[in-house]
Amino acid sequence: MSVDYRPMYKIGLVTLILDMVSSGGKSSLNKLHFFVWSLKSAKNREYIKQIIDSNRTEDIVSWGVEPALNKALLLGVAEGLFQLQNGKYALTQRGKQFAGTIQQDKTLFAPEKQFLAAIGKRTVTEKFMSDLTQKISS
Amino acid sequence: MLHINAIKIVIHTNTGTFGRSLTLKTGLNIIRANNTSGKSSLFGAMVYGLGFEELLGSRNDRALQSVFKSIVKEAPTGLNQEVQQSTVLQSEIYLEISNGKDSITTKRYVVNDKIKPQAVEVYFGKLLTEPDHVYAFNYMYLHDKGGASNEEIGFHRYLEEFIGHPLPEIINQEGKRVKLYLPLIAAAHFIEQKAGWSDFYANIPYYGIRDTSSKVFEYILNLDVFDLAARRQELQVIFRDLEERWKALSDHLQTLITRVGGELVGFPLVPVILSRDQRPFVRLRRADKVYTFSDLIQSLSDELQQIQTQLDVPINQNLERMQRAVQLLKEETERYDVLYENLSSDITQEKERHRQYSIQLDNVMEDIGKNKDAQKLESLGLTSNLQVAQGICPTCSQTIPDTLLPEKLHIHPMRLDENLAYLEAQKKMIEAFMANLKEIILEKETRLSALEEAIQRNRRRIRSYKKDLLSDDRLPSEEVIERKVIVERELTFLRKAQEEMDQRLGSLYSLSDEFQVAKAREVNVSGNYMSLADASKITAFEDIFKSLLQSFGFTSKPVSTIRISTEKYTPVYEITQENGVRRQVDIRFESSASDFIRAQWAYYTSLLATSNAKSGNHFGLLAFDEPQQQSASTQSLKAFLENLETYRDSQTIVFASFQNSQEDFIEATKDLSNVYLVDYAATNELVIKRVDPLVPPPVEIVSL
Repeated sequence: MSVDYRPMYKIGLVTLILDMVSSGGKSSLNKLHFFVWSLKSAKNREYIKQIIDSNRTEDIVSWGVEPALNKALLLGVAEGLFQLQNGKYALTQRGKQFAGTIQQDKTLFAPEKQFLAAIGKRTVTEKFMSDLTQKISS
Repeated sequence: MLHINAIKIVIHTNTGTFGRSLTLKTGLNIIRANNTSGKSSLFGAMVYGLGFEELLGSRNDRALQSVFKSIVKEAPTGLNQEVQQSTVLQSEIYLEISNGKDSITTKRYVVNDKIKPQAVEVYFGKLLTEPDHVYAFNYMYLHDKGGASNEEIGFHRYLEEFIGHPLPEIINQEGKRVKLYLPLIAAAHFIEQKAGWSDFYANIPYYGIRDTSSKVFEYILNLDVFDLAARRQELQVIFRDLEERWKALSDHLQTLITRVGGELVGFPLVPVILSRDQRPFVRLRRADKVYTFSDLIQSLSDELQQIQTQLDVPINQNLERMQRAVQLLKEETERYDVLYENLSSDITQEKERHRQYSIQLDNVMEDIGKNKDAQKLESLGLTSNLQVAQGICPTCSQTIPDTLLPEKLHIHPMRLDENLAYLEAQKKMIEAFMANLKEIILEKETRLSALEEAIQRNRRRIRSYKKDLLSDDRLPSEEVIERKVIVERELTFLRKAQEEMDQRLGSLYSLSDEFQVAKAREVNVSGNYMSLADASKITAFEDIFKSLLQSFGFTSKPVSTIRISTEKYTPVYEITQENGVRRQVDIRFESSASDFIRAQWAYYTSLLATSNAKSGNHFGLLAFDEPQQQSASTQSLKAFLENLETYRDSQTIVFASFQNSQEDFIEATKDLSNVYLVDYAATNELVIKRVDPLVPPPVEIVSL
């Protein structure tokens, strides 16, 4: 079974996304799906990185949305790592601690961290996401 | 052997000269001085005079106490109730040593404006005990490169010769041959107070040598195994060297073979013993056939001979044969063309398969990386006490499967470690496939280029024939002449290549012979082979050690359960586990602190005793700084001193404070009958004392 369906793996990814590319540690579900899909493979990372770097957002065709993420989020909320605030997912105190533990191990999520660090908190904002969604659906 | 006749310390200060002279005797010497009175400075001076100050933790003047380097303190006297401090201007240490036959004296500065501490002045005589003679002297050096090996001026090389036990060569961690350095040996002879009692050979310096302490033990008891281990290490170096030369030769052969268009058969990539009957050979590909060197040369020679007969034949006599030849060549070339097409499409397919595998490999590697991340996350989750990581639902506390897929799918996910193992296995398999494919591609490519060459040659010949048919038919055929040149050239090239090949194969066989010899030597030195003489020495050591433990009052474990480990030669307990398996435990772990000190007394003393009894390489000198550590009882110390007294022909030097107590001192030494005692505690004086007050020069009064 692919590791993408392991609860802890997915919870770890979400923690990382909230920690590294979400301003205020908060993110919409849409944005979470976008990044989870980006982080799925080296190929996806490459594709998204290129589009963001060259600012050619019109080239984005689509990204994947998976039910597994929703289930992982449910578990994460129950675990007390994430909480829902005004329709956005945010790291709780416990979640921030867990993020710190993940950051400490340099070998863990090495390519993922590199990718997210290159994007940073300011690039993919909620506005960016809604514009993007608009473009695709129109 | 190495005995110390006398020590002299001279410290020049701004208020006069301080110092101490002291003579020592063969047999037991006790230097009694109270704590903080400078006892360890004296010990330090002794070690420094021999250039062994690394045993104190550092090199040169850094190893010594401040009394030699900056400030000399004096106890308050008479009216003056303050501690007097004098600033050191220059200080030097003299040590007169003997090897039983000759005596020499070393002089080494600690502080001197001009002369570095690395310099040792060696006087060839008893400068301290018979100072009225004039002795020749020589400057020697320590610690610098070559200090242990330089023939002329390396002090430790000279000292090694003086002591009279040549040091063996060993292989260090870089694979170089080096001497077993004297300061390493010294670690079993001089036990310093501060860190020296924390373990066996606690202060042994680091010189990039593996298992140093075992080597010191083997050297002191003069074990054969020492020699054996050295030979084993030497062999490893030989094997490594052989491997490199074999690889270089194989690279040479490979380029040669590529040049002649063939492949090497039966050539192992790592050294082996090659059989004479199955020589490696070269498979040469020409068109769609394979030849050996001699076959190909033979067939070309035949062709050349045949060409010779036609050289002078004019075309008109040969027309029919030429036309037939063109026909044959055309048919052959067509056949080659078909083969070429098939082969090259084969290769394209193989390459595509290789590319597919490589993509698959990338995917598997990415998957492995992600799975490893998942594994780490799970353990992080466990340490962060997350319930999901334990497979428990955080809401209802029921067990949940390790999957986010809908439960309706009824998937029983593989455990993460199983998943990883499965992926690793896949990775190995793909890598094996790829390696195999690569070989196939390479082989087909040589075949392809052989075909390509043949096709081109045939086309050239057809063109030449056609030209011949159009030219003056009374002349000899140009094609024949051209072919003669080509065949001759290839023959020369092949003969040269074969010659080179034979030569290289010759060196290969001599490498194989060397390898066989090394293998044979390996058999002789392998295994846990221990000579009978070695076994008896170790048994003797063990017996002495155990009897000493008993008499020193060791009680942590029954002495009968103690062995000397044959790996490290340090004492261990042997315990029999419930399942009947015997296990060895380091003596340190099961001993009380004071018993561990007793074990060290016994250990170093047993080295001396065993070496004396079995003609080993011990210096015949043991020096202990404050052996009564960890509140080992005075009763035990008494037994220790009484034992040391029995080595009449060796020199033992004990620096001790007897806990600053007169009663303890009397108790410990009352039964000694043959001891040389230097007692600074009785008069309560400092070891380093004023010997010569500085008299200020008289003030000249100029009268008017």
